[in-house]
Amino acid sequence: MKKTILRIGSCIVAFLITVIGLSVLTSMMERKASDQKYADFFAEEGEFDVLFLGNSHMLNAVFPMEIWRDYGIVSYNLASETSTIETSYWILKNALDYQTPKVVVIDCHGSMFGDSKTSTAGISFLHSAFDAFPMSIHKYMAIKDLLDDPVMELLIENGEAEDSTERNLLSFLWDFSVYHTRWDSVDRSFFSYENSKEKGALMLKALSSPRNDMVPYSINLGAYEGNNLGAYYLKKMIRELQSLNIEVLLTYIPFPAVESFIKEANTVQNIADEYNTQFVNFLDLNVVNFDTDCADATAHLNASGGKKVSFYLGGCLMIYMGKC
Amino acid sequence: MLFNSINFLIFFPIVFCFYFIIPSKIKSFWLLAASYYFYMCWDAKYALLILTSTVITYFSGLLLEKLKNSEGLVVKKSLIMKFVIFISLISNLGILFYFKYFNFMFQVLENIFQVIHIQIDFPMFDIVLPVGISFYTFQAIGYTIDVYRNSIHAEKNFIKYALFVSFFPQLVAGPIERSKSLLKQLGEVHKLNFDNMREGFLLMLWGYFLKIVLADRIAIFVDTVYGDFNNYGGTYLFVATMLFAIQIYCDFAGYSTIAMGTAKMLGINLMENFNAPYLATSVSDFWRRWHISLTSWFKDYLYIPIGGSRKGKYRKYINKLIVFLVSGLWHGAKFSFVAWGAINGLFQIIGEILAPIRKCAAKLLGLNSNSVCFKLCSIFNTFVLVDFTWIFFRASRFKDAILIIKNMLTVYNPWVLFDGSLYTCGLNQKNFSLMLLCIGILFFVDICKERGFIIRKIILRQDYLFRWLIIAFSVWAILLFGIWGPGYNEASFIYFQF
Repeated sequence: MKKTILRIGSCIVAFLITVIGLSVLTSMMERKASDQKYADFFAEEGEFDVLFLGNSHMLNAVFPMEIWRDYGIVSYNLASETSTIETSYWILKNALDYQTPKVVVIDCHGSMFGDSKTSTAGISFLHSAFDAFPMSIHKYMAIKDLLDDPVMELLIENGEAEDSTERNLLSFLWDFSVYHTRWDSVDRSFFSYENSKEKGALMLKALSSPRNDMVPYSINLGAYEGNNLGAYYLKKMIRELQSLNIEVLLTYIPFPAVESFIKEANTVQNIADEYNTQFVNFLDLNVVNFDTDCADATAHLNASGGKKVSFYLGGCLMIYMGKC
Repeated sequence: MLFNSINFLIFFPIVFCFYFIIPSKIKSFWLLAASYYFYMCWDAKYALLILTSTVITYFSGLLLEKLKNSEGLVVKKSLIMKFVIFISLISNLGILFYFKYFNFMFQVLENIFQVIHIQIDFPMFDIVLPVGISFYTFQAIGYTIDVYRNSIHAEKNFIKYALFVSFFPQLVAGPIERSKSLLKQLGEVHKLNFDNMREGFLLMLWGYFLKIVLADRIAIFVDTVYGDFNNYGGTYLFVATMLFAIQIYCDFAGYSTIAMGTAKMLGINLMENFNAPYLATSVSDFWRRWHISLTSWFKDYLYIPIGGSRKGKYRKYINKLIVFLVSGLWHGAKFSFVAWGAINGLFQIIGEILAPIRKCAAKLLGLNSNSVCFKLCSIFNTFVLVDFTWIFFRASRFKDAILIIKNMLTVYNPWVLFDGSLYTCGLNQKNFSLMLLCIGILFFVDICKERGFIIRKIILRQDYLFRWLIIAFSVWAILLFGIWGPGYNEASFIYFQF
């Protein structure tokens, strides 16, 4: 009997050694972009009053540290490159497991276009958005939902979107299944990384002129009719936040918009009205100067533009949160 | 379901745990259900084929047993027994023939008619080859012949017999077990045994190393070169062909070793299918070490019945050639496989014919055939000959094999060995180096085995801390360096197609 117990015990110890070793290997082989982005988010659990969501335009335009310096508001930028509104919804669901914000700011740039749940630009950005989140039921639901995407499958089939072995449930649930192949490029960066000093935001330092086919904003250009997938997820997100007594602020980050984007902003305005929530439409505001505040041709804002937007948005948040 | 799939990693622990929890009476039934589920994961309807083969051979076994024990005229009894075994063999081989050789037969007929300038277009049927059909058919046939020869008594318990035919670890790619050994073991009560568990687990780890670290890594290089052999001539093809020899060994031995490990954990010993084949000193020696279960099956059930070496030297050569032609056909209904079998047979015959001349030459030159150098030369020589035959095995068609040989010999580019060009064939420098290192490990283990040191047994003799650390380290290494994960095509065990 004693021998059997000892043997079972040694099996358990061996199993534990194997699992511990594997978890060390898993964290070593991971791409560090996600850990870098979320390190402070997890380190300061329950500390953030405001969370920002959106795609790369939000990521490059709102700097929580600037807002904290100017207004004392503690916030975190959870926006992620190529993030769709569906992705933002699931990032928020996961983030709410660790934070209880007072306000959630959702940027709606690109939210009404297309019916695929993830971006056509590649699945690796989705890994950056989710890899750092520990395994949870919300993470499982997020991946399950985002990968269940017939529109994307059709786009891949037609060669309009990039296919990848990473577009796979296992690769998100246990990212070692894809990252173990990186053993041949192990270097210093695999063992250490620097936390994002901007609480999730990414400051661009370049200067570039965006495209010049911009159309002046007008409410009269109309809005999109019907209820596409983006609108469905946006409304769902607003409803769920309101049911948790978390205030919602919708934004449309400054962008040299053409007609389709203006119509999109007007659609967001209608949704904001429908749910009695605020909408800061930067297309209708002269906060930035596109000649000096853009970092690239696709009009991602540079540090100068971002500072202006952060300052403006911080002011809005002060009013919204009843701090002044 | 494949051994290297996530499904199997869930399936096997469940089967294993329940096997040792449930009462002994239903253990066989549990394993049978698990085996059928394992097979039906490919295509449920093909389970009917195993069942058909099982039923035919089970009842023919019973009938043969009854006839053996019955009273009556010996001649009459013998005739009826011959008739029974004939029916059993014809039905089993008929199924195999339909699924594997039907289209090939038409192709052969078409070619024959073309030679005599008659154009006949035979229909080609869309027949899907059921996985592992050649393996379980041969195992079932072997049982019937054993009962006929009175080597064993017929099995009366249908569940036990059905399990013998369909036992999942060796169902789809062997080893082709003998009824004498496996049926007896399946009838025994197996209790949880830590020693078996440990040894089985180590065997499985070694099998996974061979398959996912080595075979699948080498496959990347070989597939790149062979997939475009018109552009990769000369040295590329030489290297790819040498590597293919290692790939097919690791692929098949990997599967067999996982099968052995899986069965061992359940308390059942399967026969070893490989014994350091690339350390063979002649082609005949190679075939004593390669796919041992099939080679010995052919020896016992084909070579010896057709006369073996009992009817003179020339008849022996013809018998050998027949066995290897059949062996080639067993591997697949293609001319390239037939050629592969024939060349292997011819190499052995030529080897035997030249043996006295070689001995004489060695004596004249004062060479000691027991010296290390002589053995190394023989090993190298054998490897070159066997590797040459693999070209026919690997090529999609016979014509391609000829073209590959032509491209190997006519393109002169030895510099690709030194200028880094080899790293552009799917494996970068680090992956290529890792592959070479792992091949080194493989040969080290085989040499140890050859000298009587079984690394597995040595590890098992160490204290538990060292043992478990080795196991943990192996798991990490296999997962880190293995070719697996999303996008990996796990349905790529080479021998599954047979």
